[in-house]
Amino acid sequence: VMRRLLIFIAALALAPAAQAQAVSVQAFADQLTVGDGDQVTFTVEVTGPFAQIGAVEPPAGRGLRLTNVRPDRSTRVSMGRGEPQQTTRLDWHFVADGVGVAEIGSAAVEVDGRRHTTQPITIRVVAAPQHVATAPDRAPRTEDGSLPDIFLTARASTASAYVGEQIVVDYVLHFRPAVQPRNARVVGAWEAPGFWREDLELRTPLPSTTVQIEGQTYEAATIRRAAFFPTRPGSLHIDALTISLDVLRAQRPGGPTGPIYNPFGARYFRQRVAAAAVPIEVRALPAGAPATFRGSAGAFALEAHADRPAAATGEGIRVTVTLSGDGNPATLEAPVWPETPGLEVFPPSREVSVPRVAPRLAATGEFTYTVVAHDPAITELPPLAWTYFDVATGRYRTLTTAPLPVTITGEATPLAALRPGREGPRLRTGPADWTRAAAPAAPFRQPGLLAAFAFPPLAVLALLLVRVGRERRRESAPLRRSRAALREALAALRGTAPHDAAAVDAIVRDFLTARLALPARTMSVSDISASLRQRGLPDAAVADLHALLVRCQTAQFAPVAPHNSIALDAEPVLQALAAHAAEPA
Amino acid sequence: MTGPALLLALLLAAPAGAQPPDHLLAQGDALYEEGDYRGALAAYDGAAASGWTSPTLLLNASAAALRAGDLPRARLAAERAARLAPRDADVRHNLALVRAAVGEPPERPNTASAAAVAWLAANVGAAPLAAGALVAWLALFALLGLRVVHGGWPTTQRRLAMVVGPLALLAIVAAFAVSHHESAPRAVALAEEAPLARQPGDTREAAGYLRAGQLVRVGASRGAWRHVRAADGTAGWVETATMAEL
Repeated sequence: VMRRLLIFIAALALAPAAQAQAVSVQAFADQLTVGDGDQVTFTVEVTGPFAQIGAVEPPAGRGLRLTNVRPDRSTRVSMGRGEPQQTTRLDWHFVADGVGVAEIGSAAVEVDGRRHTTQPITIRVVAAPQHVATAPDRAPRTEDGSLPDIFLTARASTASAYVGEQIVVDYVLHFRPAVQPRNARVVGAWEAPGFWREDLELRTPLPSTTVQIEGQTYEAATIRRAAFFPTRPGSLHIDALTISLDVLRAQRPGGPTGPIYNPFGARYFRQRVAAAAVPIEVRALPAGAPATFRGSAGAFALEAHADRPAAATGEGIRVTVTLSGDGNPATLEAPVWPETPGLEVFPPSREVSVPRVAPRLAATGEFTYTVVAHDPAITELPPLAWTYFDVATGRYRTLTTAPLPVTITGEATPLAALRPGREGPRLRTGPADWTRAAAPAAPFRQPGLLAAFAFPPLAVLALLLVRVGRERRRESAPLRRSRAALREALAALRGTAPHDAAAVDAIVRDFLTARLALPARTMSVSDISASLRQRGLPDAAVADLHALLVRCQTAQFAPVAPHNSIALDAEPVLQALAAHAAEPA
Repeated sequence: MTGPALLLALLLAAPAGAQPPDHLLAQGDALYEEGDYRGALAAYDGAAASGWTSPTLLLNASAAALRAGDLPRARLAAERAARLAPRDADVRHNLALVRAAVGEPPERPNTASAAAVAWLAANVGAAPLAAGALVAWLALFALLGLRVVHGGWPTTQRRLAMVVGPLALLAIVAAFAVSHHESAPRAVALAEEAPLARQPGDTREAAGYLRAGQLVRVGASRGAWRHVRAADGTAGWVETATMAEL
């Protein structure tokens, strides 16, 4: 049976970035470690929207013998990302010629007029055959020692591997053509302790090949395929796989009550077949791994491109790093960006794609970094390094991308002066100052602030009103006093003894003071009269007042007749004065 | 760990919390320290869903989103944190990182007054300006009050009033302008290369494209479309679902 296991060696797309995004050229080899005399298949796969493949230069072999100069060619079209994807495979076959380190040289393929060249691939040739198969010698025999008409075998790509190296196991169903198996299902658990397992999908309908085993004709079809990645060293094994399926057999009588025997009839019976467990010897990785090693083993390729060749300081440049290989997809980690002064690098996004319809698992990880240059002196983005364990050579290998030239314009930003390298986003731990989540109101929409702004003018206005009121009250006090002077004076006269000349004199003088603002208590009678005349009061009224005041002074030293009441006589005098005296302003 | 963390966060944060969700914040911080940035982001989202917020929560959410490469959410959290604590040094640092990561050029106002307002908004803020304006306003009216009470101004008070009066008016105008600037509706573009339509619903020709995480001013609304204007002057209509308002 021809080995169909393909081992992915390297993805080499050497076209410029723009072309590389559209057309992908990858190189495959089926095995890295082969036994002397074993066959190695080398494949170049071209994927993408291309029109034609032109000249093809076959690879040279060192320690390997090329068996076909013209490659086997196959093309298929599939749907990917909503668009049809065309994939053309070119296969060359080599035979290992002597134990040692062999090499498949470079191959060249011209795609739409553009030449793509692959890199050499190292192959380790050992004395013992490397594949392990459980058929047919380990298949269950019938009672007479012959092979049954249907049995299942397991075939691993290698019997020994390093930790992390991919092992592909094919489960091949062998059956006689008359059996016509169908509806196969896995029965029970199928474990692989110490392995990371990734199931691969098979193209349907399952192709079968006709083989001769022990003189019998069998059909052989691969019904299940999985990739295993050892996670620890030691003698490990992949559990036996049991499947249940329907097989076509001639009907037989079921006893006296059974159906009537029909020599021309046949029907399907359910039957179980099992493949034996697969032992794998797993070797530990050697010591001395570089610091950039993250645990990947196999064969990988690394490339990087930027979304623009020029940017202003502070502007983001997106750098996409593509890492592809046949190692464990879980170990595909982004390369660490070297510390570069003036360059700020944000953690990358990670997107890993794992095509599963393939003879061997080959994952591609895309890591997109946002890089911000803060210094116009930067002329290139530094190379990125990523280390894996090369299972073909048994050594650690570091891949390095080419520096990406960039042109940075503008002035250096403040971040350029920060410590060399980058300062990532800041995190704050500890108690948080919580508030109820609500849309923050603008300051001038907050009632408290508006009230605070409104208060001062209102307060000043109130002060102003108080002051005006007070002044008005102050200004009207003499007038009120003036108006009240006559009323108070008359009331005082009526409460005074009729002959109390001193009291009447005082009441009259106080009336003059209150009504006319005349300091009458300190003035002589003559001065009072003169002052009143100056103010324009009628002479008669002034004369009556003069006479009254003189009479009061006289009565204080000489008794008056009882019928003469000074108090009563004073009332008309004061009323006359009040009637003619102008009110004070 | 992201799935369980998100489930836990949502379960714990389902009812409106009477107490601040310190436990979710602490859980997010722990996941962040472990390098599980998406898990941390889920925990922070759970804390935010509890009805509480804080500059610390939004700051840490912006950091986690940045680490996870989720620029729109990083921008949203950083801008919201900046609204709560505009002069917080950590918030400003993360906001600067997000802006740089988005690749958005700094906003360049057309006029000197607009530049002054933008500078004041970035370096002072509306609330401190309003507080300063209030102080000047109170001082001005205190002087006026003294004049009313005493019936006149001594020379010193008169000179002081001549300084304080214009200052108060200027501060009020500045505070009002900055407040208007800060409270203008803004949104963050969620989709990468979201096309800007010239007319609502007209997708035949794009007037421009928005980057994921880009900040835009939001204007008129028409159906499921909003008019937006980016800092570089690009304007057009986008579907409301392609952006998140601050």
